[in-house]
Amino acid sequence: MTLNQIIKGQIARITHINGEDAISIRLMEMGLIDGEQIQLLGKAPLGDPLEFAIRGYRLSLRLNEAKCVEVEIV
Amino acid sequence: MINTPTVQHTPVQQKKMTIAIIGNPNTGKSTLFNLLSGGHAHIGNFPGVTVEKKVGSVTWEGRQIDLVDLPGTYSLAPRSIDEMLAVDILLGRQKGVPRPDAIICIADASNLERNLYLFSQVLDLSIPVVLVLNMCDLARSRGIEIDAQALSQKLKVPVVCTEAHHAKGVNELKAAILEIGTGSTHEPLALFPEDFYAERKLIREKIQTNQEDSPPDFLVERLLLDVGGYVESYFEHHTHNGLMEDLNQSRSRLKEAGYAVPAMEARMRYGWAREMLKDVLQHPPEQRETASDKIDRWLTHRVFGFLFFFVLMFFVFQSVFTWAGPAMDLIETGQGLIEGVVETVISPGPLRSLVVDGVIAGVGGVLIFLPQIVILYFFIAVLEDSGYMARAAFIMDRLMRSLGLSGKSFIPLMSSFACAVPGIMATRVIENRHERLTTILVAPLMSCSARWPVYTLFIAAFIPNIAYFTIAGSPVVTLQGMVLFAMSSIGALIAIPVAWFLKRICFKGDVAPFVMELPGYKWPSPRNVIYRVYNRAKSFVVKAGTLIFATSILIWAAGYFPGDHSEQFEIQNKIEAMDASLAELDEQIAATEADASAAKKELESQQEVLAAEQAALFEKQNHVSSQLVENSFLGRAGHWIEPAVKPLGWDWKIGVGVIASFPAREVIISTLGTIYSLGGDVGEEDESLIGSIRSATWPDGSKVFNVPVAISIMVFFALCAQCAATLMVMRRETNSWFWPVVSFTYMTTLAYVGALISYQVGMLFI
Repeated sequence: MTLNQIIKGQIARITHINGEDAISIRLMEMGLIDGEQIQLLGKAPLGDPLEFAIRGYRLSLRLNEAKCVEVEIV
Repeated sequence: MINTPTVQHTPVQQKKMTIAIIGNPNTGKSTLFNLLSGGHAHIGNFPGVTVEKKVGSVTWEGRQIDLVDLPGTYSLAPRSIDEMLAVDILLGRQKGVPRPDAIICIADASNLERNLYLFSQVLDLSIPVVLVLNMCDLARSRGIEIDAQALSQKLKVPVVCTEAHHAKGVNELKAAILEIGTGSTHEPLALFPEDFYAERKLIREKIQTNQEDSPPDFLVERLLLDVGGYVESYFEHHTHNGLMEDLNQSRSRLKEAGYAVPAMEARMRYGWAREMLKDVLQHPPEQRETASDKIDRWLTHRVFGFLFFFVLMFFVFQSVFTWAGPAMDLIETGQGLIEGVVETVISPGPLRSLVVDGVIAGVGGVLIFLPQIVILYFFIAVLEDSGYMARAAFIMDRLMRSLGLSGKSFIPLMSSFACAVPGIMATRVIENRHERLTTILVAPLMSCSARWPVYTLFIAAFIPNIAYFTIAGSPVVTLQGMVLFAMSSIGALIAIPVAWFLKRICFKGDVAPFVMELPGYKWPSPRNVIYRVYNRAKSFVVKAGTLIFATSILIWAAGYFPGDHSEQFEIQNKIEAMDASLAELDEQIAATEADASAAKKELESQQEVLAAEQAALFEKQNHVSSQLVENSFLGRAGHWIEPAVKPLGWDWKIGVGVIASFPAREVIISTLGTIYSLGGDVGEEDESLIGSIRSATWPDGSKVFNVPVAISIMVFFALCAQCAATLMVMRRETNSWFWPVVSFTYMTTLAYVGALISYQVGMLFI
């Protein structure tokens, strides 16, 4: 499954980042590396973007960008 | 806490040191820069890029130091010319900035693991570096313990803890920098496997065959690592044709060896960061919910979050208007006082006309917006510093995306409803160049406060005051109100297709990711807020003011020359002499009040006669003035463009008004006042101006103004770019004349077409 599919409060482990484009590079620079745990904290009032907790900080991603991240639920 | 330096510093203390400051966004970088530079920073733009140039010259213990502040960044992998700037400066490849002798890398102590990513790239630059752990207090309050001493030993660089918001740790940091000295070197981190360095060597040889100077190792590394990055496209243009093929071969060899680019870099650097922080950083046993998280649950809440956002925005803009009011009145009064002083010192003549009608009116017309800009910037600084700005972008992103923009454009566009100048300056929060340009280009379409006088005048003159809906006898929905609302929103509506067009057609293929940190909430630092507001205000006054000053003089000259003004000045002299006699009579009447005799009546009738004479002179003066304007260069230009504006229903006088209001839209009111024989000193609610506009006729006797003409003028002013301050700020922020020219051209076209449609369609209903 991909990161856009997890539900609020769920913690997932990243298995892979798809793509080699600017978005996937930026995701990796922000610390989204395979093996890392990520939690969905909530959504913006209109359902997009999303707020995540990773490596002890708060990161916001759009649904579209979260789609690039393959995860498995912990 | 400070580690012994790993490099020997030279005892010679003459050479000036250049120190670059770099760090992730939201690490308190600006606050620390302001503290270190003591507020003596020069702010400008780097040539060719939109990035702000902040350089502070200071002397520490007799040592001269130039501090160069770099834009906040998560990584040194450049994707645009703006991001390349930081790398170029650090490598000493930027003209006018010497290669830094040392780097201060600022990291958020509460988020150290991610911040060390950028730091590990900085280490690869082979420049001595001091690592600053900022916001140590916040980290501690979250239960994070960092052993700075141990970290310094592991990293082999000095580590300093600071709390920039409380001005703590600055002296320790200065000491650590002075320890480094100039001329020392620093070994790169070199985290990558042997295979990678072999490929790097190969690529270096390939690009060196056609280049005399050899690029630094760091650039070759970026060339290999950043797929589709800026360095790649740079070298593709500057070296041999087969570069992409060589790069692809190198990358696929690395992939086969198990080191796929770009994932390899992130994995290696984050692996290293975790290794460095092992046994050095203690986290609380489980991730507890921080105070920020608790606030966020409310402020990004589905219902309450939106509500709070709109109430806050309403409050901000309400404050901009209400708080600025008294200060604006004060500036206006001051302007009047100065005019009064000038009028007593200089007798009527070209010099007085230049000073009063050109300089004071022109510069005053710009300074009047200063209070609004200061208040708006105060709020923006507070919102940014507190961490709410990132949430505003988060909340608005979905809506703004339908325009092809992102949440980060919302605040700049919202600000532009007060005035496009601070709005355009606020686009600095947008890192993506194309998104920022789109926002800058549509910002002047938002209906700013300078358009209101134009709307008010024509609505009062031509739109009947019909109430459609009344509550308790007071009208709630009126036709005039509806027209005002329509005029105020037409620009914002037009901005939607314009932004869409710019994003989809002009800046195609550039999808800006919305990968953004939501920083923890904190109290804004008063020092930082004041500093930023002061800087913005100063740059507004200096930069916009100088241009307005020049344009006002030009427009004044165009309206003044080549006519013979001697008759006008003669009348003016007479009027002023009469003022004195009238005042004298007033005094005499007051003195004789005790005995209500024939003497008093006599004086009163004298006064009446004199007043009537003066009124006649005023009329004559207005007539002469309007003749002079008609024959001036400006008036000739008005006649000359009449064929172009006739399809809009305008006569040459309106044409003159439009030309004269190039520096600022509001000028049309005073120009129309002058031309319609009333003198320049009229307001938009002036009954006589409304009256003479209503009765103005074409040579054949038909009325010039009717509802479609009024609408056509209002639509024109709603869409046009008649504001020199905006165009100047646009030039400054984009560092090129190209964008202001584009903006002026497209907006004038839109304004013309809009006015044409309004008039031609309107006439069908008359």
